[in-house]
Amino acid sequence: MLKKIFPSLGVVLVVVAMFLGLPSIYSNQSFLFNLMLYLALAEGLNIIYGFTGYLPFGYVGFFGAGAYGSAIAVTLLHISPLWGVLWGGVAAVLIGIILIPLLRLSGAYFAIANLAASQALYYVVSNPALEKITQGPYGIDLSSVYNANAAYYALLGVLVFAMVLVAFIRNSDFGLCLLAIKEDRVTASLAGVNIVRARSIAWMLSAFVAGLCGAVFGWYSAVFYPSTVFSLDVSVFTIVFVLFGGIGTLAGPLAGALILYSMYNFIGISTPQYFQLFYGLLIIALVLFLPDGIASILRKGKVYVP
Amino acid sequence: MNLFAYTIIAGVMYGIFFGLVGLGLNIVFGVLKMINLAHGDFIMLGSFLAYWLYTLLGVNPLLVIPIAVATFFLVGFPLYYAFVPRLLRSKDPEMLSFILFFGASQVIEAVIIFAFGNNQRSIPSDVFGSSGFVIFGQRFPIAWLITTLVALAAFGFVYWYLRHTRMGYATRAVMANRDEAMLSGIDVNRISAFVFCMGLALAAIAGVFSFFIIGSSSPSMGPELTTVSFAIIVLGSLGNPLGTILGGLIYGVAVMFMQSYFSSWADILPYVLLIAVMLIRPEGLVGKAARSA
Amino acid sequence: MSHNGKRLLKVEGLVKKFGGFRALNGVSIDVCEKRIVGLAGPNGSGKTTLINVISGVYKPDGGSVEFDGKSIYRSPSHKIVHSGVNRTFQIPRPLAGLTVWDNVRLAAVYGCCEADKREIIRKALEIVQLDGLKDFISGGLTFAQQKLLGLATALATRPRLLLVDEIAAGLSHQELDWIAQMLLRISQTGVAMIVVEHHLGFIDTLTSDVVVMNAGANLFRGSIHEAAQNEEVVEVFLGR
Repeated sequence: MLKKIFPSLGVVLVVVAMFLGLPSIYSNQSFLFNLMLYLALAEGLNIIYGFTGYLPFGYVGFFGAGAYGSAIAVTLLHISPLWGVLWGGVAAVLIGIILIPLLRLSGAYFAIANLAASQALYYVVSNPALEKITQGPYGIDLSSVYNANAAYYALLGVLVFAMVLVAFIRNSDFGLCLLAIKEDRVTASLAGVNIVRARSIAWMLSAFVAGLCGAVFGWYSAVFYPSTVFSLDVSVFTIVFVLFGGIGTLAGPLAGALILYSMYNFIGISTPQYFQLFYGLLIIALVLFLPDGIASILRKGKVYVP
Repeated sequence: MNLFAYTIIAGVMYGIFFGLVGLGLNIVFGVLKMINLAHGDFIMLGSFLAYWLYTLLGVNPLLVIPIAVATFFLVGFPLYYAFVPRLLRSKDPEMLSFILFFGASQVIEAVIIFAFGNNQRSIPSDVFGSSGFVIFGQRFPIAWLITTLVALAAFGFVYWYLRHTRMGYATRAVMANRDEAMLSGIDVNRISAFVFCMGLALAAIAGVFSFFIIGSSSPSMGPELTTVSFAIIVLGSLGNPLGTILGGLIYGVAVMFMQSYFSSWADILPYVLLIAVMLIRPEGLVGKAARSA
Repeated sequence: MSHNGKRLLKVEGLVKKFGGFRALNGVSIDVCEKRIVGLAGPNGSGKTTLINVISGVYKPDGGSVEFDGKSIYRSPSHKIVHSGVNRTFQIPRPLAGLTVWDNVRLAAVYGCCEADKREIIRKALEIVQLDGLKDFISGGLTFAQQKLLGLATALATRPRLLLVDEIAAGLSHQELDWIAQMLLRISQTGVAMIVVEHHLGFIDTLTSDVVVMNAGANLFRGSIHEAAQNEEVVEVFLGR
């Protein structure tokens, strides 16, 4: 047991050291911020997809709920943006609770229903009829509390939380129970596992991480629109990163996000289609040749992937 | 009262067209039990084919239909044999195909943006003449009537194929039970490939006429159309192609009512419908279960 | 009928429909503490369906199921397991990607309230003699080993009633004897059982109390020898 915790701890420390050290060498903070954002989102999505097999195509819904939850708390209730981040997480969990019935759907049906839920949420938030609360399509202005450095380190905190959460789940009885549900629900429930409760907990933890990410993103951006924080691209990128790295591990999604997001930054930002074409082909190749991601190559070589 | 009558009639026509939008997805699902997540992108491809032929050569959209069918059969067969048999043999065909078709949708979108740019395109709605037609005192553009008739013809064709041809009979056997169909000597792969192509061709036809109902076409409209199509086929019942028209009608009339009476909430409708039907009656209005535990 | 000891399981008039087909059509069965009841019947008579319904894998459509005086009718499987019932599968369904140890650990952690989990896992594996394979991935075990793993998993939840579904099917003669002895040893630790079996000789080595089902309902209850002389039983087993 302990033997397996040390590699995980090592991974967490390397990532933390990287994001503490890099700002002094590399001045593009916005790139580092977005990279961290996708690392954290990838681990958050990994909790639900990697351990239970539910593919949340509408994961961005939690991200948007977090951004709006915290922004509304900051602008209307005048709490500090750091506390607002927590509010964002809570807002996402609330949305997660509302969506718990979706977990009764299996496989692709769940994925599509979840996608529909995030779209529905987007249309609610951006509806001009709710302008008093959400500003409708006109977006949120948080420039009065803007503090890029504070948001950067807050996100590092969120990332550490997400990584520790995944490392814990991976090495705990709870993780075993989630993996059991993924493999065979009947066998799991006959081992005494309360399936509905276990998968709901995983779902809410996953939502919480995305909510925190969305909240910090809103803070860092200062001004954002519903179409940015509910953009399907957020779900899509996160899913692709996790698939590429390897689900159900701590290091896989980190590696996936690190490699692909850096690549996106170099080839994608000016002409996003190059990257879209690339990851579209990558997804097809992964499904056909490497469904368990790059982590599975190492595993075949009997290397333990934390 | 005028608004009410307009809403109903427009809703029915709109709904019949959206039945066609969902039809290809449902027929492919029926045979392969896979959700073609690139379905909306094939609709988009159909619309760009029509746009390109119209602006370059002035081809009438009605004449694009045979061209679209031929093109998508030519494209569909290699696509099918490259991916589908492999997916069917994998350990989790449902999820892996879902993800693979998603990848395909991204590739298609990117390629079309390279070719045409990420702009909205349209074909003028007076391409069939500028005269209107009148039903129950309500005036509609002629393009709506033609689109509705094309959609009905497509449903009629699918009905005829499934009920009155030998291949249609075999197709129904594959839909009911793939393994048993294979054991009884049906060439399941050939049937599946044919129906897969038919699904793509139907999507393309919906694309050709999408200009007149939706207004314009853009390379990134695929995912939204896929979601709407899925809502419609879940409403009508998954895997039952002819049930799709019912899903389309409900969707069409509901959308028109929302637009007439609560327009700011109209966009949310397909998504809420989809979630509600999946949770309350996942077998659709006339069909089988898609839910577990 | 032997009514020695407290009645642990009481099933009455149980109905399970699949569409229009009534797989269980009013079957009743009871099991006393620490006793073994054999459950026989031709293919399709509803034996496995009965096990599936009692263990909560299927939801019944009528009747009653009481365990230890409390209703477990339509309860979810994990609650039934917590109340003290578990089962094995005719076709084993281990968590194929996990090790033997983790398969049993899951059951010990989530299905059993005793504190010393390691001891429970160790004992369960020892009883079925899989202790030597504890670090193997369960998907790589033989069919017979997977059946034993299923038994160990069930035992790790510390059941008071164990439903054993055709554990002998596909095993050799020596293995049959060995399994029968194992089940008897488990029974002596105070576990009541329903043993579903096609093979009447196997049931005979375990118990003299047999229930015969046909078409989803009870046909007969008594000893194997009485069963062999019962015309109806002979008829359903041999066909008319």
